[in-house]
Amino acid sequence: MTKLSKGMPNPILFRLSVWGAIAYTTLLESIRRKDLWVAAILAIVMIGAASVIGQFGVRGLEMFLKDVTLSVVNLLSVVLAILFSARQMPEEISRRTIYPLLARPVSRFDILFGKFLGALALSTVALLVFAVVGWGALFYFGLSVGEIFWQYLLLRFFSLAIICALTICLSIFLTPPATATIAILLAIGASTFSTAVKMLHGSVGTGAQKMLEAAYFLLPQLDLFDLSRKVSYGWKPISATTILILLAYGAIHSAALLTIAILRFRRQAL
Amino acid sequence: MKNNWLSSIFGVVGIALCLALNNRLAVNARPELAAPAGLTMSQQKKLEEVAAASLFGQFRSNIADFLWLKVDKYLHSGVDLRGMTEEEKRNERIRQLGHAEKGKDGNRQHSSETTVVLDKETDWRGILGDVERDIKPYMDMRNHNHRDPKEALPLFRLMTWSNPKFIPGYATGAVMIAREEKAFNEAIAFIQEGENNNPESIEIQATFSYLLLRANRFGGNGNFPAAAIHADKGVRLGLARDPSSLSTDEVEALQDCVRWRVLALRESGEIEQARQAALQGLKMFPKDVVCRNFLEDLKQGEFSVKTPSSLKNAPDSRLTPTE
Repeated sequence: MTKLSKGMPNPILFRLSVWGAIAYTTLLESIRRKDLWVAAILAIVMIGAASVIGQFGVRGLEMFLKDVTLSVVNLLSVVLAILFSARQMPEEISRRTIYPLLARPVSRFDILFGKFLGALALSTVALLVFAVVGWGALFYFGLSVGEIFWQYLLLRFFSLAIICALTICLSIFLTPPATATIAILLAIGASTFSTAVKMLHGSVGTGAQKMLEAAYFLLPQLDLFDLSRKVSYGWKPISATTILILLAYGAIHSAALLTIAILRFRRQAL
Repeated sequence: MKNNWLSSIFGVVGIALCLALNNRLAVNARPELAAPAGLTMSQQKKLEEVAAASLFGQFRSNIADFLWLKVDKYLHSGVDLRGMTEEEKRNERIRQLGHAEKGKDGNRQHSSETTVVLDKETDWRGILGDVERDIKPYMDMRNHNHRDPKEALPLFRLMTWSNPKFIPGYATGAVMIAREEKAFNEAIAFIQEGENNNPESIEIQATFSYLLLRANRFGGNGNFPAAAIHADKGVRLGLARDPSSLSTDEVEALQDCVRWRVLALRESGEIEQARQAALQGLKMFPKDVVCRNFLEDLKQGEFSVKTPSSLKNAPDSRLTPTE
């Protein structure tokens, strides 16, 4: 944090350096607490499981293996992102380390956004660890995932941004265990919710239809960021337009969730 | 710094140990997979009595169900399908969206299913709908074709290995294996394994009989008397059951057994037995086309009776006709 007190340059650069410093300390703290060991241990378990399957022979099971590998990568990265994000703000408050931060020229928004960036960086590192392990295991069995795999990773990154924002937003209102539980339910139940809305839409009255539409458009549809099925079944890469739309969609939802969080956090007694 | 080095060494050693352990385990696991024999009756009984084993059995059963669902996705290149709601069934246009024609290789024909991802014409989500159609495996399912079912064969092996009581896995898997070049004997061995593990199954008898009856289609040698025996076994299993306890699949399999029995006896030259089997079949399924056609042909003198009936004492139908 010593960097913050070294003069007051351009306000934008100053803000960026504040957010960067908070994100960096978040990342550093997680490394010191050995949080990333969770990712490493899970990755070792993945390698173990993959090598067991490999011993059975993978001829004819290519799609199945890819499907299972990417589902595991999705699940683990989402759970870790939620667990990383859920405790950022509550711990800062409960350990009272937020006071020295606020004593500096750092606003509550800076702290919240910096924490969001830190949690996102941490989640991205975990995602990359799982992805490298998954890709390596598939490569070891002679299976290729194609160019679409990179698009898959990019979209997972976008979805992690929404998940981190959602979890940090919930953590301002709820206790860490409640935050983690609700965030996991929302993230994992997103696909079921989306399917249910699509099915129900045609069979209800006009009023209920409007309500379903509102719920669909207001809640972040994390399901839209999941390319794993296309990777598994060997489909071609998707269009750049779709990726740009999803980038905008992810940015809007993340911004909205962080706005709700900061509106509440500004009024919160510490 | 020292800690980091220790951690790295620990990680590498952990990975190496994991791989070594798996190689060790695989030696024991391989024979199980090479010949997925399933559980014996005594092992099955043990599964029911021991709590931990019962839980494990539940896990195996769930795995088999999971793999069965995966097969459907594989056949549709990952496109998610679901059953239609009543409203959708009433809508003629939507009804056509999920219709699959019967493929040249005999892939299943199905309707009353639609894609989970909405088609453009019915989608109310605008740009988000377009995004989903690009992100998820999606195709126009009107008169769609399926992927080669052979690609899903290893899954059938895995699901019956996981749960030897999983009858659809044996019944469908055996036909899939038979479609592979020079794999007819393998298919027969597979369905035989299914019969050993599920001696009370009507579906397995129906499939066994079908494979033996249509062996020439699969490059194998037909064995009509054996086909007739398996079909007859299936019919007897069906008649021994309370009709109300039969599932839709079992009733269909029973009707198949009735048909295969008539055809197998006809091909064996046992015309009188075939006639009696057809008459009995019509008592069970009065509108059955195969039995009716056979009796019609018989009336017109297309077949000559070679042997006397040995089915006179076959049990009468106690079933409610389904057609």
